[in-house]
Amino acid sequence: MPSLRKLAIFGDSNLGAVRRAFDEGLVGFRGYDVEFWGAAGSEYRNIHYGKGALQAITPEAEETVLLVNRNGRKHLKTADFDTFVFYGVRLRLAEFFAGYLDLMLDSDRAISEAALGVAAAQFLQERRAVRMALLMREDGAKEIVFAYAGFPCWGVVNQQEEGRLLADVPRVVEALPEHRARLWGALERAFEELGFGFIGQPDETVVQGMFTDPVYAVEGAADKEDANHKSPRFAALLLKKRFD
Amino acid sequence: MSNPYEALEPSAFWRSAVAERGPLGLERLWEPKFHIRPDHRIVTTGSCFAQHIGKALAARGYDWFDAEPAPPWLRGEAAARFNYGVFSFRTGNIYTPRMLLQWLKLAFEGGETELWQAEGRWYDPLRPVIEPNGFGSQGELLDARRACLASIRRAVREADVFVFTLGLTEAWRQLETEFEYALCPGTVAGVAFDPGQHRFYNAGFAELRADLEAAIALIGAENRAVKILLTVSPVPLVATASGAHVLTATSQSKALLRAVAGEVVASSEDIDYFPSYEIITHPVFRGMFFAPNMRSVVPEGVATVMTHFFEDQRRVFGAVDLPQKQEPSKKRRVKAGADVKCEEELLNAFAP
Repeated sequence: MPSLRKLAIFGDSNLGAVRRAFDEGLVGFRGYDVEFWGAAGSEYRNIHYGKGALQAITPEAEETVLLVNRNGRKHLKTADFDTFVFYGVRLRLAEFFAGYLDLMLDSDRAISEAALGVAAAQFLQERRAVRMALLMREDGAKEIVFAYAGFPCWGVVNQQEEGRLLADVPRVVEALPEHRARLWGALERAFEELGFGFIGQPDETVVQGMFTDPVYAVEGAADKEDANHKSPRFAALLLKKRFD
Repeated sequence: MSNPYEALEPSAFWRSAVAERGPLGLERLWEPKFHIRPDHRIVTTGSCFAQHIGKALAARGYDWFDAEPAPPWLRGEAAARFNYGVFSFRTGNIYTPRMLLQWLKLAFEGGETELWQAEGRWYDPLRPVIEPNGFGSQGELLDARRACLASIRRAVREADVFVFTLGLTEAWRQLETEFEYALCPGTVAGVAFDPGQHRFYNAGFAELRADLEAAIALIGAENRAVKILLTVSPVPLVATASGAHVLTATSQSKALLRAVAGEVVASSEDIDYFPSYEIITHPVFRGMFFAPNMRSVVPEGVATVMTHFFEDQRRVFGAVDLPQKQEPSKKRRVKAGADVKCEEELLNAFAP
């Protein structure tokens, strides 16, 4: 029997959906020995990279990390795994999509593929998780794959309220698959140029231009007014683009 | 009064206005016709010196109008590489009155032009270096052209002040269509030079004036309230195809443009001329504002030009309140309680 490759799934609160998907057998990560590692909310912000490992820098963050990992792994060492999946990790791709779908839907504006590629690279450079991953790669990480935890779910909260996605860019609901494909392509190439893999959101889960079909919302999403977290089924669908 | 000169201001006499003051003591070089306030929307376009004017106005808190802003996350050097934020719209340099007129006609009257294609890339002959490596397809080029023309329309219609810096009289045109190129074909990627198609043209006074007046008339037809401010670029020609020495060709070119500006300005109270050209090039300044190549203008030159601009505006119209620097736009606020929800999600999944 061939030995299993070591897979670490690192993330923020969206990691919950992956764990459940794994526990429920919706995704098996065949051929891998899987470990989860990460933290949510403010504790996620207290995870930093240094000395060859991701590490929690406060006792509270460390407590969460140990709850998530279950193997007592306080540090997630670059050298200990064959593959890292950065799941969720606050990529905030909805901001990128909102800005560019709005632009693409405006007949008086345009952007070339070359300029879009530069903008996508700049967007990624501004993500803390990407910068941490770059340090891991410098320290010899073999494979790092980013997985986007999905656009907010449609219909859970009023997205036209101030501070929500549609407040500034209402026309993005008109975006078509070809608009999204152009942006996914630019992001994929930008990740590839950094040496990372990328799993974008399956287009069959997208509705209303750049929202996730509410059937993939986390359980009780409406009661909690939580448009951001997704169901285990969504996490499985996403990760099955790369893992069995 | 025994003669008309007795009543003139000291600024009318070389000795009192220039010789006794020295280059850095000069004042009242400009008697502005109209007030340019910080809250006026100011469009800048033209030859490369117009970039300096736009940047200096924006740095001072004036409302320089960026009608074709860089797309999100295209910032700083990267945006400049794609020619965003250089002029009020993404035309690149507009060196001649004919070129300005050509752009305005395309923006307001429509029309098509030839397009260039070379080695799988597409180039806009109106602005062949606007993208570092040309466009990926004809469609991409035309989309970008359409966006630029829309930005020109918006800039012209919404401007309070339209600044145009005249740069050159020399240009290259298509033999049959008279289409004027931004740069000589063959000197940039996109098309090979063809003497049967491309011809050199050095515009004379009458044509320069007619083109400039036609351009201003088109602007005025779209925006009756706009004020026009003309300047002449002090930057010498990089090369001449006229057969003359580049130094004398520069003199001819700049003299014509300066004369045309003077004539056009005299025709309307809504058109003015600002003497940035004189401040940089006049022998009084002994070439001190040029870099050693005697072509590039050093930052001190731009600063001196703009000091005269603001000081003469203040002298004639009084001091203005400069706006406080705007706070960066409010970041989208995360709704209260979001962190709490995040923690719940994770704890629920991983709780033993």
